[in-house]
Amino acid sequence: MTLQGVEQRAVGWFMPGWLFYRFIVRRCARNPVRILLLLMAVAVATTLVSSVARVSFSSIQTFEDSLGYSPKEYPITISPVGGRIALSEIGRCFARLSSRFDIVAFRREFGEVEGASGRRGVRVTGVTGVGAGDWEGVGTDTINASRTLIAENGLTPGSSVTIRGDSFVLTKPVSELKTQDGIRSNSFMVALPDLGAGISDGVLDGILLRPRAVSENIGALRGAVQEWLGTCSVSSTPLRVDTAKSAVERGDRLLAAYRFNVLIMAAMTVLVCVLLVSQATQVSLRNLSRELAILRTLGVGRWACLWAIVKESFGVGLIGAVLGVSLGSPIILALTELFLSTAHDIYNIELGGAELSWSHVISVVLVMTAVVVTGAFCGALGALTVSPSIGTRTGGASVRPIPQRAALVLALCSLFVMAVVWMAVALKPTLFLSYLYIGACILVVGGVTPFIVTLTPRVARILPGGVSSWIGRGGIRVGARGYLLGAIGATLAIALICALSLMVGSFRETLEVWAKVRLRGDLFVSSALDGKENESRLSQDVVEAVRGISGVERVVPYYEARTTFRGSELVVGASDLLAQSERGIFIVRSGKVDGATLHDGVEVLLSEGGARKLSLRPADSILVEGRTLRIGAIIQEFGTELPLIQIDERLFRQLYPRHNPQSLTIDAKSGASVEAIRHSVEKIVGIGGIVRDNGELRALVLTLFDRTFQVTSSIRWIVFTLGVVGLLLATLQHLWERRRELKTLYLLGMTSWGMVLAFVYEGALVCVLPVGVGVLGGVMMGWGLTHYVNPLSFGWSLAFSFSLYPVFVSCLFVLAVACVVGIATALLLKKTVRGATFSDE
Amino acid sequence: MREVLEVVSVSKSFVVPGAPAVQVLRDVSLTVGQGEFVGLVGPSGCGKSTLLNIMGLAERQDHGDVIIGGWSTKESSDRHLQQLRRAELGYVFQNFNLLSTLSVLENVMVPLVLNGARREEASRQAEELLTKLKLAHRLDAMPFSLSGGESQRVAIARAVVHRPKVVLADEPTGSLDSYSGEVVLDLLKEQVDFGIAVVMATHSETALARCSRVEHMKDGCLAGARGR
Repeated sequence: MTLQGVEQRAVGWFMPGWLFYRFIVRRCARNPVRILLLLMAVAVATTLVSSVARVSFSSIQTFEDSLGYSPKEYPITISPVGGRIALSEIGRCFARLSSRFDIVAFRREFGEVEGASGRRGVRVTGVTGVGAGDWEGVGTDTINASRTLIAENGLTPGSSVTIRGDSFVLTKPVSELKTQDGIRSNSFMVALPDLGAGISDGVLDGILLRPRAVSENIGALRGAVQEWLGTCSVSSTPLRVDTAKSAVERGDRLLAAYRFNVLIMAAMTVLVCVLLVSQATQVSLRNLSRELAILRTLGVGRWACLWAIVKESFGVGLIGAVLGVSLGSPIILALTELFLSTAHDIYNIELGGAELSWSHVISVVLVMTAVVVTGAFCGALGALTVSPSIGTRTGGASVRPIPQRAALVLALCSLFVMAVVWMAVALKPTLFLSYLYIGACILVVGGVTPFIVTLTPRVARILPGGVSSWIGRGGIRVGARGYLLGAIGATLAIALICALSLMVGSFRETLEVWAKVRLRGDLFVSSALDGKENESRLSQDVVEAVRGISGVERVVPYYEARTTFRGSELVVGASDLLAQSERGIFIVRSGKVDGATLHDGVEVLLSEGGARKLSLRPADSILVEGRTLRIGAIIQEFGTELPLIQIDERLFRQLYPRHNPQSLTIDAKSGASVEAIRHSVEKIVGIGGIVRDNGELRALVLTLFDRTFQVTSSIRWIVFTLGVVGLLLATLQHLWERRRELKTLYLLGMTSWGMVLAFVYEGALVCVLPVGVGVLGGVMMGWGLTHYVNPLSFGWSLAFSFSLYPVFVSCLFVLAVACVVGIATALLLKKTVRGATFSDE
Repeated sequence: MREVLEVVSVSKSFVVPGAPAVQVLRDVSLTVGQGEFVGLVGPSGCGKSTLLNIMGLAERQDHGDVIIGGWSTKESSDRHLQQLRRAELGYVFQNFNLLSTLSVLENVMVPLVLNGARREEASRQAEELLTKLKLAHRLDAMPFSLSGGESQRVAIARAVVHRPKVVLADEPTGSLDSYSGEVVLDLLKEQVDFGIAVVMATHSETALARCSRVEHMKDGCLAGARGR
């Protein structure tokens, strides 16, 4: 079909490019504030999502590195549980294993190193076997060392290091995975030929297997090795055959809790981002409704209108995501580094893989663009309902109040769902139901907010304020629907911040109380090494010598060993239980501590995490080294993630006669000089022990905790920024829509300050009540996380404690929105009020 | 007849970057007495709106003076101008310019509240006036739900509720049908009968017929008055 000789093309699903450019792109240039805020929001969200992804990848990569060998090269490990492998007991298996595998053996020994900070004890890991000489930097006269050891001793690659009288050249630093609580030992990995020779009559700490045939199925091989060991080994120590992959996964699980924390935040951030993009699109659509109606009259299809808006958002999403990754890269790297340094402090490891890669950048940009397009599509669905008309009604502000009854129904429905889920989780607390509870909290926050927004102007009537507040209230009442998604986004952000801060706060408070009780005493002496059996510990001579120091009232030695129970690794801790219970050292969660039965060694104490993991309760029995012991009480214990039982010292020495104490707690006599005692103790223990003030240790526990949660704290502030940007986007768009009304108010005699105040009042009011809902929702979520999720996930029950932090954050939130709205109004006033007024009609 | 608004030798020019300055008003003088209904007529671009802006104290002149109720505004501070706008002037726009987030009643209350009236008193007075204007049934309506005629009646109510000395109206019937236009003009005439001076810029002959005096503008000058 032709018209005046020009072939016509039907405008179906898409708007012609030239029309799109004139209709959409030019409009963006005319209203840069909206686009800039949108870009900012997308960029902030991208930065956060990118950081989380980076942290996750680097964590996994790190635990591969931390093994000290390539998991691909040595995919199967054999390790003893609670002891060492006696070569005499396993030697018969070597012949069979060596037919299919290259074998590498480890052995750890006590050594000494002389560095810039003096002589100190270290753990030396010797390695021998096929391919051991190929390991990076490890040879007969070269060693590599952990980064921590190098840093702490002022060593540099190329330094000469003396170990047990032999001199070695230090090659390169390596990662090291430890789970000590700050009293760290260090390890050397060194090829010691004589260690290999010594194997013939010695013991091993681990065996690595490399299959000769590349195509072997590792899982099946692992099973076969386990079976062979069962038939040929007479080892008195249980042996665990593992794949290197599962070792990496086990290590990675240590950080999974933190990653999960961060991941929830990222998910919420994406949700907030979708909400605010959707909100911005809706407002944009309202602004365009008249023009869209005219375009519809001229023959543009409804889907073409929708896609035009979505296309604009695609551009914004793409540019915002690229900006987020490029401008936010310092933040991404800083957050990753922060996370890695936290891991360094807690686990004594150097994590790698913090650098950005192109594949990472491209994936994040694509994901975030998709997020923005999704939000825009949802917001632009209204374009389908724009009908063709010769619109004569002038455009104005978003005068669409929220239907209060519908909002009330939504609020009640969400509360009902919440009540049902809460009852379910209270009756039968499972991890699934507890996560459902958290979901229900989010639902309540989102569901109640619309109703609360409708109440805002009514509640605000009782507040003082002049004309400004009156006009501000009118703005909310009528434009409520325009604010809605922004308000929900802000509420969710506040709820999330509150929930996590309350959970972290509760954890910290519980830990503080635990540290005060558990680390009671004046001095703490620990072995420089966490060795096993024949490795250096604090000998009985040391214990007796410390007891003889003048001013020492009491010395409580602590012993530790590993065993298995029902196939799970179990830590057996021991001390004089009677003395310890007299010192009030145990926080009993369940059962009671009876001094008499503890003294007799009849009863043992089981950690809370262990009780959950092993499904044991007070009065149940537990089998340790052939002895049946009765569980007297469940105690709070943060010292290890493994199940732990505390038994009496005398019983321990019967079960493990070769074990020396791992640490000593020293109580000084009243009035005695702790510093003088410390010097005396240091002289006695020499390089084999580390002496610390117990106050230092208590502080260290909290310092480590704070460092751990620095990442989440940083991310909380990013979520905060996103929430503020979301609400600002809504508020400033309203302001922009009503800029002409500023002129009218100006002519009617309202002062500039009064107008600024009116919009500040409006912005603040839009925040106050929804943010209140956010705080309440956050408290509910925080309670759920503390009361259900934490114990079910990690085995620790925490005392929920409320702090004023959420209130502080909420006030800051309202203040931030109010301030920026005030400044924006003032700027807009300066730009729009002066000048022609009548002629602008 | 007491003079309520005097424009004395006012000139105004606009500077557009990259172009020579445009002289919009040249030595314009005009006097409006109490209860006078002055029509301002002239071709588009002759300076009517600029003159209204200057008379309405929304814009400052380059030269000359605007005297309102005996107060010279030449040296006045912004604060003083604002007080004069608030108390002595009322405005009616072609496109009504009602505040979209306030109801009909609240829109009319605004000038009273800004002038310090108590909220209850302002509400009573606004309601009384709206009732007189046959809008009692629309008190709680929002501006978007009003017809053009209703909107302009509300705008007039807002312009006169605080009894200003002068009401400045820019094409008040421009967006209305003939019947609604008649109603609006009747309302403005009523205000004149109550002693309020009205200065109205318009192209409508019907509207000009209601004026007691018509001032013709051309090229930024007042070409002369035609009394009625």
